[in-house]
Amino acid sequence: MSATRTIAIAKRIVSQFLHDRRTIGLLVVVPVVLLTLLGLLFRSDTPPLPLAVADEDRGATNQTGTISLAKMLTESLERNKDLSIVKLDRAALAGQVKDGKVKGGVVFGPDFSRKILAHEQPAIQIVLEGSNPAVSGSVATALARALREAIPALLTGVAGPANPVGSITADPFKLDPDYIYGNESFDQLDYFAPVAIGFFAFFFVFLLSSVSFLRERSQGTLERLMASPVSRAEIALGYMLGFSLFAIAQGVVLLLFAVFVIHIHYTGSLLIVFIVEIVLTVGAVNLGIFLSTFTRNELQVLQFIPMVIVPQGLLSGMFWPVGDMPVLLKEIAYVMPLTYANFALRDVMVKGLGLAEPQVLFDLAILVAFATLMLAFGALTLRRQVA
Amino acid sequence: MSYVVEARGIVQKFGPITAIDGLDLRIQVGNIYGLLGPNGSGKSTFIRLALGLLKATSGTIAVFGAQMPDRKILRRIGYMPQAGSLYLDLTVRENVSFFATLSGVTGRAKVDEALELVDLAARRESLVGTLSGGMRQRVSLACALVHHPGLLLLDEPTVGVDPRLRRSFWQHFRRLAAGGTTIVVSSHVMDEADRCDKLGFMRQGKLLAEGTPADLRRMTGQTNLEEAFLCFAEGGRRVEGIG
Repeated sequence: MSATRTIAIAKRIVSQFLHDRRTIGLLVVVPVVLLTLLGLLFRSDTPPLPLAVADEDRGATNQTGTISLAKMLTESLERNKDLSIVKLDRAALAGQVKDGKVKGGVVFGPDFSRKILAHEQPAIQIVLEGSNPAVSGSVATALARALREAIPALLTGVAGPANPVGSITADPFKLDPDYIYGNESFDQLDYFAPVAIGFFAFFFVFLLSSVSFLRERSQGTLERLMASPVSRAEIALGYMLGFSLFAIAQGVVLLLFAVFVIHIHYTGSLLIVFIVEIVLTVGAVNLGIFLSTFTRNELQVLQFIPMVIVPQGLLSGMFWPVGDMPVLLKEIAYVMPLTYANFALRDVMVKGLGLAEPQVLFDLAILVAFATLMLAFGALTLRRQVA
Repeated sequence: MSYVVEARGIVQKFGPITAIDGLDLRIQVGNIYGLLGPNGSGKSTFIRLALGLLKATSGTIAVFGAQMPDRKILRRIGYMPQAGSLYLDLTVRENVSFFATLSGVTGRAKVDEALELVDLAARRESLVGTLSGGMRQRVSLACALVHHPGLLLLDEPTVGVDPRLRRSFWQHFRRLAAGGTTIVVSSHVMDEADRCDKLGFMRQGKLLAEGTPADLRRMTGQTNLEEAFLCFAEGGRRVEGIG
């Protein structure tokens, strides 16, 4: 064992890194940026949960006079500082839940008060959007907690101040969840699987095309290609076609596995899922070609993973809904192609929406624009890669 | 007289470095033209300019009468780069066939012919990554001439090739030239230089001397080209109007 030789190897490694300033920068800068993103995601103040109430309760009469227990419950919800309540009718409530303007809704039926007084345990309808089981679950839990916290006031209202406990059951109502998309059997995997397919396609195709193109350049074959009659557009399109084939094969395997082996729930058209995936892949291939211009070796390609892939994984709505993110992160999310792919894939697979829906078309149009832009960038940088 | 390559007042700068410095060069049809010079003298840069891979800082270069870069002309040019420039994870046949297709050649006949020529027919299904350096050079040459180009630009084509095969390469170059193919070869190997119809000595981006091998020997008063080359490389004398 020679200390001199060991130190010589260590010194060589340090010297190599010192020649590659970008790597040193990334070693420090990228983790700090990613930690900042995570900090913003985890530490952001949670705004009051926006909920809607539809009160159809006609009230009921007891010894204290005519009372509306739904109104009392609503007032109690309004006093809860974790919630932000808007009052709507039943149809508007469903519309706002569907559009994501409110996270959930509470509907008190016309006989709510009467049934409570008759000890019939009426159902309170909890309207949930349902596409994200985590969000639905937390909304349902928050609502259940808030309503149960209101029970003492309710009992006071029923029995009158003189006799607060009254002769009422401990659980005067039951909660009846109603999902606009999916149902209570939807779990996190149903929410995650559609976007995982898009993410894997984007990740692997981006990585493979960057490395392939880097090799094309470093092995000199790109120069040979450019010295042949092939045009830059033909090279970019050829790459795109070649890689898309593998991305589609990967997509088919993942989708069939998700549907038939791990039995995810899905409702929409698998064809549209493929269309979204192909467009996303085209963008990823050309992003890979474009960014490989700025790399000299495989190590530098790998550095694009924390720069390009990880932020998209964090911010594109895979784990945290984009709509619930702080404004700054939301703006970053909206410039990421994966965000639109995730919107589209979930809209199709979880909500069962089709190409006739403007929101799906819009997301697809953004992905097409991204792919076209990257194709142009990829083709334009080809000459620079040779020279 | 018709020239396949005609460069006028070419200057090529890379940042502060002048790789080609006012080069005028004309190459006749059916000639084997040897570009000689030390490393960094501008030989490869000139070849890349002729291919249109670079756009000259100033001056013009025409190939088959067309100002380069012109992609249409590339179909008539075969290029063998200095480095292997092959797909190591494809077979010999797949490499040659790929570059043939790019130049508009389809079918197996010309691919087979090119492989026979470089004596690699028996290794056609071998991955290029498994071949020796010399064999890779042969594959690279096959890729350059599979489409029967009118102009062959060969950047140090015989590096790593054994003497027997080198002789066979040159016999073939001679046959191609006799058939009207113009060949530009950059080289350090002086016995190759002697096989050229005409030689250009380059140094620091300038053409120091041009002429037949016999002319250049006479100009320097040397009996062999090796000495003549060293004389030009070290002395940097400019000799014009010969050849």
